[in-house]
Amino acid sequence: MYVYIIRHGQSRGNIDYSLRDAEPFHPLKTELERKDPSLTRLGREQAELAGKRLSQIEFDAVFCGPLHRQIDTAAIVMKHQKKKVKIEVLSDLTEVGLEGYAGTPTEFYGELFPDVEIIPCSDPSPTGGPGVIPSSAENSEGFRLRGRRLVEYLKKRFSGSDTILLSTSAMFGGAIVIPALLELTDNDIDTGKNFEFNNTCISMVELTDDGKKIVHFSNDITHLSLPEGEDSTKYPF
Amino acid sequence: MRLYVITECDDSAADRAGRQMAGVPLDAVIYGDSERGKSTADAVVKYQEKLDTPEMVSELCENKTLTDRERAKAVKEMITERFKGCEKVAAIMPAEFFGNSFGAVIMKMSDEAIDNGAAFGCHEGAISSFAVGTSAEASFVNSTLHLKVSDPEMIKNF
Repeated sequence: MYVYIIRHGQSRGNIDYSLRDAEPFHPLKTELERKDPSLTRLGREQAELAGKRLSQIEFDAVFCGPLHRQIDTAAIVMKHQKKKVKIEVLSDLTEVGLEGYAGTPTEFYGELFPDVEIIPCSDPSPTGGPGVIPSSAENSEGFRLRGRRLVEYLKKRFSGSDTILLSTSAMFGGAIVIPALLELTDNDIDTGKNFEFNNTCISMVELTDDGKKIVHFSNDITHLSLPEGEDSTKYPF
Repeated sequence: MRLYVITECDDSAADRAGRQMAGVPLDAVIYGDSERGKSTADAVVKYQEKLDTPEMVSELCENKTLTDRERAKAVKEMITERFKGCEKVAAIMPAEFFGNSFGAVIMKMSDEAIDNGAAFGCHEGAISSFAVGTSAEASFVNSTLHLKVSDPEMIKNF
């Protein structure tokens, strides 16, 4: 199984407070914008570039966390895919520090993400975890638990050359998802094995059927680094 | 200290890696006893203003008495001790040694995790970057953009 992991594009939460007012957000989200910021214009451009580069990969499934920036990034990537799959929202992919928050309300999905089909996260989640991560769960044990729960779910559902995409955030993706895919020990994870994740970076971990876990690359931002006019689809992973 | 690992490669790829690293002022470039290690290290030094020559270190040399993992640990210890106080060091090593041993060791993964199959991909001429210190952090792993651009002149520095 090939697991591609993308961090969301730049969000309003990633820029200086004084610049946020200049970035548009949907009126539906006025009350939620502080907790669940939208992508900035740059963030959307980054996601388009990542989507174009990822168009050379055909995904069998696409998962994202329940946050607006995570869903939006997956939705933009999906626009560039020839094979259309539904985007599956998993509470376990939410960012750390947002426990107790269910994510963008599902009744907004149609208006915010009109171009894609989305399967909202159920409660319990398909991974077996809760539909909303309880606020009391998120100590380091909680992070590890949901990282491992996610990986076990993926391993039950996919194998061989199955190729999937996870759209998540920097802390959870870099400090939990990759270590969980590598099946690192509690001590390994607690001592901070961290993979840096820039906005829309792409990482890929292969889980082989005979038990190997290989980080093929991490924090690849080729799509943001190419000379102007270069076609990123000419740059294989 | 930031460690850049560049995997041994042919002359063309080494030149591209050197160009890619030109914007990173390195305090040292180290390599083992292989011809390709030496030529890759030379190509990296060529684009460095502060350095005249790379340095062969015994820990990166073939060693029949140590397993690859033991050798990887010895390399990590040597780098940590010897280059304490340095900001940026590049180590040239064979791709398979990086992928199967050194990558996991520099990320301070336990023997148990490595025994269970944790590893890194290994592409010749790829560049990876790690923070070496109390935490284990990979800034990026197996960056190969410099190997893929059609014209080496298009390579941007890190």
